[in-house]
Amino acid sequence: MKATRQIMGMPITIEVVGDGPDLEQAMNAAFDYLVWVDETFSTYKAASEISRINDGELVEAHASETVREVLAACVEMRGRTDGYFDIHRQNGRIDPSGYVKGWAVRGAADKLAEAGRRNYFVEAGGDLQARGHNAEGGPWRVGIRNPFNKREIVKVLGITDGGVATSGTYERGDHIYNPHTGRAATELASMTVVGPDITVADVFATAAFAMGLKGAGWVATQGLECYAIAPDGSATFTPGLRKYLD
Amino acid sequence: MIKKILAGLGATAGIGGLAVVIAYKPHHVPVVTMKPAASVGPAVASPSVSATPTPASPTPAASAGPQATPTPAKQTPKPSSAPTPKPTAAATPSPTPSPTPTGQYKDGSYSGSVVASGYGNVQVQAVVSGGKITGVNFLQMPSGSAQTNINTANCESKLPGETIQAQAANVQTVTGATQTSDAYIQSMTTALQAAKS
Repeated sequence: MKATRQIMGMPITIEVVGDGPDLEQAMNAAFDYLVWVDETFSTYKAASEISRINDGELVEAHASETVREVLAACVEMRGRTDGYFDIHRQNGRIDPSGYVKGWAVRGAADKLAEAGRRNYFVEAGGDLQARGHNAEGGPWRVGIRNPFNKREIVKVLGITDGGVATSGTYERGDHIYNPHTGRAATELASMTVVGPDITVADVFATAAFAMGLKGAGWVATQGLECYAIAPDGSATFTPGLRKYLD
Repeated sequence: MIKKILAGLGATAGIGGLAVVIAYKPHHVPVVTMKPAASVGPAVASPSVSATPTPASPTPAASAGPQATPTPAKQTPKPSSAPTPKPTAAATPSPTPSPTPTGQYKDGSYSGSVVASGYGNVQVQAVVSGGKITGVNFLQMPSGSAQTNINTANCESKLPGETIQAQAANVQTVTGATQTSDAYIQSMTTALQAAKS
């Protein structure tokens, strides 16, 4: 069973192997969770806790436990990425959506696990967590989109238990900045990172993309795998990525 | 609109050409091969769309650009690393096709048109030297911060590499940036049209 809904400003797709009313209920619970995340963390919703923190209406220490945990995780990620992942914007506000998206996908996948599901993926705007196998019993086949032609894929990854995330120049109007230069990152056309957990893969894709050409080598040192595409159509990847290839 | 322009170039040829164009690795000719596309979605931009016909010289893709090797629909583009085209029976044993020492573009800087993307304007400038594209400047970016000179010259890495190729689309899901570089491609296309001899 497969369903797509528009949440968090992007299409979110959940596919679970199987059928039946129980499954539909499990998928609804996962989608409901994502709606709750959006209401809590969206920087576009004035009533969200993040907006209220940014507007000075809510002190971070008084935020809900979940929000405090997420913000603490963002601080940790900033350290792990040498400052390349940073939720603090030039205008003085915080925008944790770079972390929240992957974290929410992971959370939605966990909802399916709690409902007893084993074979599924949750995909939000091109980032996903997959577990188990697809309807044919094989690994979930994940295509890497051609950054120069969104109708094409240029690589197929087989994922049985892992997260895959891609950052690219124009995904949201060139929103990825190199914090060390303050300039938009443009050395790469796209950076795809594969790891056990989408939360980490997503952050590392964002950071590695901002690093540019050095990003792929850096991902390798962090124990994750990646496939980086340069503006000239050449790709660089970590040797360990081969275990995900046919 | 964008699709139409792409289609006019022949989609994959256009993409491959663009990729070549943006490449300027110092020590070797960039090789870009794109198999006929296996489209993920509806095949709007299929490679079989007629590309602008060029004289039927069998020049192996020594030239770069969108119109390099506008092969007929089903024919697999030969990797440009192949030094000589396979002699066909009918081919006259003439000297090898001239390798066109100078590229197909005139030297200079060419600004592409300003193209609106969903989040702001994109405008690129192609810099041509020695008939080849040697640089790409971003004159306008959605962020508003002008970014200059993609530099792939220091792309040295011990990691393995390859040239991207379109794959069969037998997948359950796709990872990728959600907003693509349509505007970038469109602006670059106009820049290259201006740069053509």
